[in-house]
Amino acid sequence: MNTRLWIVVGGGGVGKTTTSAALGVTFAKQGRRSLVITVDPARRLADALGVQLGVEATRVQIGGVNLDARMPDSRRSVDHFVDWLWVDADARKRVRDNPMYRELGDALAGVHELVSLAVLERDVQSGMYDDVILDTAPSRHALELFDYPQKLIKMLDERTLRFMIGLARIAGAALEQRPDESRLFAWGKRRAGALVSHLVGETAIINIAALFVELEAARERWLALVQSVRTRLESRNTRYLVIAAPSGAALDDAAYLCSELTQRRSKPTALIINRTHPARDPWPQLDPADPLQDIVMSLQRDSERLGAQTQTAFERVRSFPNTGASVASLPAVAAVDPTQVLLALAEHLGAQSWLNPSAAR
Amino acid sequence: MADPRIYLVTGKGGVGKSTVAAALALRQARSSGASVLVEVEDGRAAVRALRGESKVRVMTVTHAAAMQNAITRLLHTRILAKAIVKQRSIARLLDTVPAIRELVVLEEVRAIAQEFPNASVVVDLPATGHAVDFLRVPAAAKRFLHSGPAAKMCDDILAQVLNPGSSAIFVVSTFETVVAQETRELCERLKNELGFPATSIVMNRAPKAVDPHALAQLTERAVHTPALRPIEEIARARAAACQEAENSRGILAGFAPVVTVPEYFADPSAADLVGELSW
Repeated sequence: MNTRLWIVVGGGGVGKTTTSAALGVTFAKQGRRSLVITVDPARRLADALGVQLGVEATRVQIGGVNLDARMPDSRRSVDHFVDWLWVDADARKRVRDNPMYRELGDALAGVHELVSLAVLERDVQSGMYDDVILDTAPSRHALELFDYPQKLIKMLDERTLRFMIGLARIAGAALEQRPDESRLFAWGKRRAGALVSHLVGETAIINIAALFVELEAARERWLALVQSVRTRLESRNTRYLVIAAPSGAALDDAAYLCSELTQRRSKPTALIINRTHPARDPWPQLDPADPLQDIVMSLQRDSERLGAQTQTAFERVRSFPNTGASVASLPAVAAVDPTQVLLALAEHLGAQSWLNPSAAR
Repeated sequence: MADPRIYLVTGKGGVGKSTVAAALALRQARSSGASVLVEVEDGRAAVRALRGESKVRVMTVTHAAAMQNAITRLLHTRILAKAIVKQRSIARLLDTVPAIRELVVLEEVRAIAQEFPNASVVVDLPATGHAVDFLRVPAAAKRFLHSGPAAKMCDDILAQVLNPGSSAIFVVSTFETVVAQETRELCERLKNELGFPATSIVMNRAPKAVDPHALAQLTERAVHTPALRPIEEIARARAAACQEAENSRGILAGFAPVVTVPEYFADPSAADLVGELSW
């Protein structure tokens, strides 16, 4: 199976969602079946495509081609995840009723990305698409999807769990069904545990520990998920695009993302500088007494600043460590209609060789 | 109401939040003598915006340090706190359990405000896209914890950091419709879920006005002067952007006063923007 997965990352406000949608349109124009998934709750994708999007794939017609798009509900995704993780209905209920989960479950950093990756596994494996494009959450958080599975596995490693269960015991909880692990607890750990339970209170510790017990019960499914996510992230059919814009902050984020991705053996395929402004042809010189002189001068000044900013961005990108990524730029499109912007960007993307179906990762 | 002590600056990523936070900190430093700008994990954007301005003290809060400090304050001993944070199982737990990061960052803000009683504290909240989820953590954690030192910590954060009587929430937006709609949603959630309505909305990078008379003239002349046509196009795009900004003001009306900061066409400095932040 040769479905390509494109993971689009970049700082906030660089036009990631629009670029992702434009990528989908570009592939559709090449006759490829494409699906765009956004985890951005901002509905930018729906806006750009001019349709309502739901959790399930919606067929979208744009610029004479068809593509699919969908938008997982990030606030509900954690609940769906719980449903998936625990096969046993009683366990699901215990987890959902756990005060810790109820109050703080959706604050689980990184879990949204993890869930979206788990969910798109189905799309990638369905064979229904040639290209699946994942528009990730803005900013550097996108990379949490790499680290979170690992963190969870570490936390679920037996020792940590035993420690937690021990904590609950110290707090007075009688989790009878657990085998006696007291031998494993050194005095020091007990002291640390006693302190922690003093800090957060007995009830809280019991609730946390109960949640951990459930997590351990679902350990096999966790491991399978982590393994499949890791395989997917490192697959040769998975490609990474870093999006930037000509501003200092966006370029900082792009530099960070490029180097982090490279360290994670997931070199970006391309770095796209969005919203660039070309240097303009010579501006018409008006007579100083011309009534239009003011407005033309003012526009010229702004245009020159934007052009200079673009130049600076290109220079900055040249100083990035060489990752082997193609560097591409997309122009700022002045159209007010989001669909027009999308089609204009797709036009530019169509000319990029790294998007070619035969191009290697 | 007296000038707020703590300014919580939030907004979607990419709207220029860090620059606005830096400008706000500079404004407070100039007007009230001292200000602390708190950045979370990465303070580069704010430092760049300040361009070496020494009046503002920039403090970068890392999750790891905030965690250790919070535990130190809870236990009144740094040695034990260090031992706890280093304990492998606990370290992993702290790394993964939801909301702990948010909680310790807000606790650090509280402590900083206490440490600098005469300074305004401006917090550049992380651009998680879920500002409300971030700020509602202390109340949620308090419900979960009931009592004990950690619950008391939540109470202190609620009283000293998330108190509408002494803190302010600035929401940064841009002129674009989509961003304004998101900002509106954020303001609704701040009010309804947090019980802390936005104090002020900053519409950043607002397009400069185009004189309609000049634009009409430009259009007329462009008919005969092809060289003027690209310029006319730019002017039209700008006029359309102004219209969009006007609509966005309508979208945001009724939530909080909207302060407009014009587009600078380059990475502006905090000093550039400080004059625009008047209300």
